[in-house]
Amino acid sequence: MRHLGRTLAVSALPVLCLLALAALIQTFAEPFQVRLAYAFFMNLVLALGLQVFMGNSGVVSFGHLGFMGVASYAVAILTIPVALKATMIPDAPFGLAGVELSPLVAALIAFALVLVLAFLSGFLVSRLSGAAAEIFTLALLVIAYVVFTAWIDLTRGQRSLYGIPVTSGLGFAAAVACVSVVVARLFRDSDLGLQLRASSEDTLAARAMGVHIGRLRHIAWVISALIVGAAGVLHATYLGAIGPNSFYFSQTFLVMAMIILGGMRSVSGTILGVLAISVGNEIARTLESGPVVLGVDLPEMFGLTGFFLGAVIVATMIWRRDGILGDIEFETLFRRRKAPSKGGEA
Amino acid sequence: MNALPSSSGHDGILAAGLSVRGLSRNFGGVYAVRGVTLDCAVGEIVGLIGPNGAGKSTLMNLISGTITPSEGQVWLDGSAFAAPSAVDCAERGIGRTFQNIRLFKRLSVRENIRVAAITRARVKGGAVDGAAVEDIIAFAGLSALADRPAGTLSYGHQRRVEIARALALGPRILLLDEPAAGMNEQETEGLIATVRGLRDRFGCGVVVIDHDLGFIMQVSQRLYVMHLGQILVQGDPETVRHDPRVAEIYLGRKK
Repeated sequence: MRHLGRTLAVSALPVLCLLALAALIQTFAEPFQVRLAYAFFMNLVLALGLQVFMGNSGVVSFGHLGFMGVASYAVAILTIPVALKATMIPDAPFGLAGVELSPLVAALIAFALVLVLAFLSGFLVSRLSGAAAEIFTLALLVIAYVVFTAWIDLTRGQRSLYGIPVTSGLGFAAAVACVSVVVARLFRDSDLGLQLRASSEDTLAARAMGVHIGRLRHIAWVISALIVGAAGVLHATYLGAIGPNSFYFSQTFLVMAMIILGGMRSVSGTILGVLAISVGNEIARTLESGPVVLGVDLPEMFGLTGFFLGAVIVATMIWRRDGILGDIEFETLFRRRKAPSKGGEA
Repeated sequence: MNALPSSSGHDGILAAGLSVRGLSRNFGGVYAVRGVTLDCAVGEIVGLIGPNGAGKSTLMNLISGTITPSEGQVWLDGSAFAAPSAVDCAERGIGRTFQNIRLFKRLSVRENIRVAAITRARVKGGAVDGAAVEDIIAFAGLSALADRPAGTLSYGHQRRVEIARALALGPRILLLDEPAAGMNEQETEGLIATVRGLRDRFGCGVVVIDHDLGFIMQVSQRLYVMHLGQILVQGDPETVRHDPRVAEIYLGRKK
């Protein structure tokens, strides 16, 4: 209980900032800016999900977008009106073409599906270590993508599934993001989280201190998959249409750049990274189309956003391997003003 | 093996403490440890010495479950480990330090110690005893450094964090792998006091490994001398000091 109270206290600052941001944008911004903000909150949920696993276990996962896709497709297939499904996926297996559920029930089923898949795949992830585990997660991503594109009766393959009832909004996305912040902090600060973080530094010493590394990784894997699944639900219920390419490499790299830049070892770093990349990406996107800046007519620069993400990852790896915040959470920044500056660290 | 008439239970497995019986580990045809029998009662400080390559660290890894023995058995408090893993050993009360310090460098000193305290709480059932953690921090003289990342501490302090971390397991037996390595005379004096102090305060048996005779002769009540994977001599420090075989392996073969 003390643990819960403390986590709520230290989460208060980011949570309040996020809610204030959402309220401001909802009230004053243009519709396209609301859409950008929605994408920010959705990516934040996704990044926090990844943080729970990668940040604590130290194992890189390329596979989480697969869980996001599973949740998105589950919600889509379960909520699209029967009449539309008759034209898009009339031969859907398990009689799904005739099923139409409320978004809430569909989301719960999506979570259950992600839970089962994560629980099962978690047995394998927790048994592997290092590069083997990371390659395994990459394989999961590819498997998920192949299922999304090849199971045409169910997913419509490369063509998008549309007609998903749009029931989500900015406020809901912000609320989900705040819950994710609290869950990620709760896990990081818990006994399980601490032992898992210890194991990411030295597996031999962690075992000698009685840490069940595989079990802890498994737990983190399942929790992180569920948070990522929530991002999938946000994705489907806002856009109203989904396709397989939203859950593949480009989105994986976007979220990787976010958590690498901010510092995946802390929840605060993850939030900061998502914010920085979201803003930077938008600037790059504007420059890409060759706008006129201060009277100078810039040329069109296709692929600038992709270049931007790559450059951020490379620069972070060279100059700040642990990201902007490293192991630091926001509250430590305020408490320890006198702490030696980390800026000059090699 | 060399049955010597000294101290605690010989053939019998200790009811309170560590008993190693016929422990071997071979890598292909080479035995790193061969047929080792060793006892350490709770409340006792036992030294394990031998020149570099004698198999001391391998023996320690076998006892702590880091590597699995090819033959033989480890007993703790009268019951044997079936197929010991490092995690089992930690849970059942064998704490250890490492020859080349292996701290969780980016976690704070307190968090390092907490990692072990969490295991203890899980085994005992219940929440982590925060007061006990602070007690261990104070005992190790680390109170002022408790919030610092362990990797930023000086070498001597890092050694202390290692000992404190192992103590937080609430061990029955504490294995110290070359704790005096790299320490000056004054620091070594302090370490001797610390080792005796922790035995008395936390009521565990201590097995200390070193290849340096000076430190280990002072701190141990009983000694085992290891050579080429086997226990060559055992007894109290005086006996061992005057045993010609010890001088032989340390100073070279007498013709």
